[in-house]
Amino acid sequence: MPRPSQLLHPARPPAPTRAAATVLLLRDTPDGLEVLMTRRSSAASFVPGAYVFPGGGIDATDGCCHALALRRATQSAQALTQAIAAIRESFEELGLLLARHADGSWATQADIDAMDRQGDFGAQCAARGLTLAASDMQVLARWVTDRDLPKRFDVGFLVARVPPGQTPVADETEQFEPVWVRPFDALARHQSGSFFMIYPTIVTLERLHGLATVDAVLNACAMSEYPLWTSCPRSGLLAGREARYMEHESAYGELALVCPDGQIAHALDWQCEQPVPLLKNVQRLTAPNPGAMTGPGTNSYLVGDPATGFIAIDPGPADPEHLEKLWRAAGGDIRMIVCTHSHPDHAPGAQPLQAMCANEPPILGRPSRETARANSTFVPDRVLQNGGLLTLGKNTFAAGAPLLQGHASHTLQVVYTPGHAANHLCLLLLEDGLLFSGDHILNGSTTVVDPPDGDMSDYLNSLDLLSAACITHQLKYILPAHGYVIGGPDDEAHAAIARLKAHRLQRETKVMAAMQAQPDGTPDDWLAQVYADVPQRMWPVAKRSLIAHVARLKSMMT
Amino acid sequence: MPAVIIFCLGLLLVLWLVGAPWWLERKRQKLRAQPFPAPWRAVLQQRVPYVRRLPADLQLQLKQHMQVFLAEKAFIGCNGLEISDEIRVTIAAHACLLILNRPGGYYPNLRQILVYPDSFVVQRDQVDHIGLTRRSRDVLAGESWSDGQVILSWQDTLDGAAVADDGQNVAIHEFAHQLDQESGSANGAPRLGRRAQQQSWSSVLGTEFATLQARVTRGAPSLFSDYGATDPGEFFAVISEVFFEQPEAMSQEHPALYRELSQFYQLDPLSW
Repeated sequence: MPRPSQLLHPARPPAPTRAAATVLLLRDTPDGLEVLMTRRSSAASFVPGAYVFPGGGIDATDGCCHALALRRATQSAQALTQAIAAIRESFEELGLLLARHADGSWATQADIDAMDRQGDFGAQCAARGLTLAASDMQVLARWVTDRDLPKRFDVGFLVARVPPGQTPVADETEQFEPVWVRPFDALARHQSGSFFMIYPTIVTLERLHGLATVDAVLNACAMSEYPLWTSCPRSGLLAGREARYMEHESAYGELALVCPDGQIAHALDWQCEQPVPLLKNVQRLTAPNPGAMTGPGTNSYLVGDPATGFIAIDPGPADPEHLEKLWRAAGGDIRMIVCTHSHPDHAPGAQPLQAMCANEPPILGRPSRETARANSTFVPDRVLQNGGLLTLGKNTFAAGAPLLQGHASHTLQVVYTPGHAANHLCLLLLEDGLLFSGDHILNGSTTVVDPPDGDMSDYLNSLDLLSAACITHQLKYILPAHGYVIGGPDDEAHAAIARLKAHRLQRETKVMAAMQAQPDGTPDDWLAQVYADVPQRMWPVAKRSLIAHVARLKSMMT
Repeated sequence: MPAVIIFCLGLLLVLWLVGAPWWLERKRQKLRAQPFPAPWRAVLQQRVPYVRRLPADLQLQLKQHMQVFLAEKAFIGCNGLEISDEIRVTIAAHACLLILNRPGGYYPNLRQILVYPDSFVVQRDQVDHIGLTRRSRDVLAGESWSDGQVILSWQDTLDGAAVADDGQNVAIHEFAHQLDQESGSANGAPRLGRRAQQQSWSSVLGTEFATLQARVTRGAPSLFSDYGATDPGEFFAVISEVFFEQPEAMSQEHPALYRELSQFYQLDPLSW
């Protein structure tokens, strides 16, 4: 975990969450699937005026009504309570009753009209011999309110078919204007500004896309008792406006690192004008070389602070403007320049950057092998060995070094990770649990392994090494040379590495299948089969990785 | 008692003598450490293509010098010209190109830069050697005065900067005069380091100047413009333009002269 002292924003523990439940009541119409929504009171304390699904906080009474409910064998007590709360709220807010008589028939409008919507729900149902149809409800999703809001909920989003013969009538205090709407129409009206919805509602409706009937939705959810997704979104700024991201989206890890408590303070726009502070001791400056292979551009990183001086990681191409901005971001005090590898978008800036610095900081890295392409030849001033330490400030990791309070040190440990290039290395920032992954792990694109300098077996072995380092050094975040930060406070970084490895092995399985189908084929023959899911313009590059897989498979067979 | 006063005054003087340069340097350090404004960057990219030629470390040094230069020197628009960042940055870039790697400071005598929209007319009364006063009207693109000002035509400055390899650049020309004038008048003998250097400078420049004069008289072509044959001061300014803009041709045709200028400017444009 990053040291609290290095966080950019003061800690602000998020408000505790309150359990809640909401239900998407669905019906089939000749025009397609419709969902019931209502407008919240403009005086409501939480999202006033927004169109939402009926629901609310879970009451103590909801947990006491288990005996009144029909329950699936697999439904947990917690899920049951959630379903009961959703049923009760639908009744109170909209006068809809998901309950059955003893003979299995649905509660009728007459039942509802005879009941008091403000009265004791459980007692009234029991008195009429109604059982709550919790077993007819499925869990769709779980949304947790953003960390920055003062009032937060942990909400189960359930789905159910609306009982036949019942008409929704709003309570006219909390909820108004019940409306049956097709998800697509709701989204379109929201776009045009006439149907205000908040982020979780929008995403939930978007995810119903492609599910044409109530049964399709219920079946999708019935596959397990777990939500199809769980999310506590994080917000960043894009062009100065708030933009929300879910866990699977590329910017989420970066927001988790920079704004752990959900502060809305981090600009996500890719630009190469100014360095982007990620922690007090880590800045990123992206080079002006965006492209198919480089994504938004090469990320140069500066580790350190004005007291310790800085280490520059991957100065990037020899672009004087970029190097000047990097030099200025370090206040001219660059102590070392490290190249993760010597490809032309990473290392050529090293020498000109060195020339800018009065102290002539050493260029560190591993020399290129003879297999490297001509534009990647590289001889560092000093060769970095696996496990070597680069220290700024007092080295607290050296044996017997006293731990000085108030004097931050920044220690990078070298991990030799051949694969993408024969001279590729990664760097661990030990004090803060960060991994500078160079091109070994990227965000938003896949690393190319280009033989002979690249090697697929090396690549996968290096990945295992990094995976192990995640555990031993409690690495939580990965800072790639292209794209946003990856990771999170739990095991997100470790999981990302596992996914990457799985992706490579899946691709390898496809390569093997293609080779078996066409034993006399060439890589060009196999390419179309293996990379059918990748745009054709990327095939020339993908072919390099395919050849790497072929080489690995052949070496394993012999 | 008077001794104490004298001592105190003396101490103050010493403090001032030591402190003033230190204070100035501190101020300059702060200026250099500030971010280089993006609009200035844009002006350089658009108006001074020459900068792209420089190696990265010299580009950085140039921009830092410009930050100091622009903070310390006044720009005055003449004939209705309004001074913009575009004008300031373009002119500062040329001024600072000439002082890269040179320890001599930021044109210590220079106080202000006067900028005319276009070529300007100067009326002068000159007294010749027999005592006759002659009134002349010259149309000029630039002038450099030893009393602390440089005068430039903005249009000619732009034209000179737009083509970075034609050996014609009025801004380089006038700021070269400023350097020359640091040692008095513009006579082609700027302040040089060691005596040996002075000797080789005057012998090489003297020979080349004489050669150019002879060529001009014959009407033979030269890498240097005829104007350089006017006097040694103009010769130095003209060869400075060529040194920066046509280093290859100059080093081939006038290797000794190129070496002298390379030593004087502490730069080797040939290697850029």
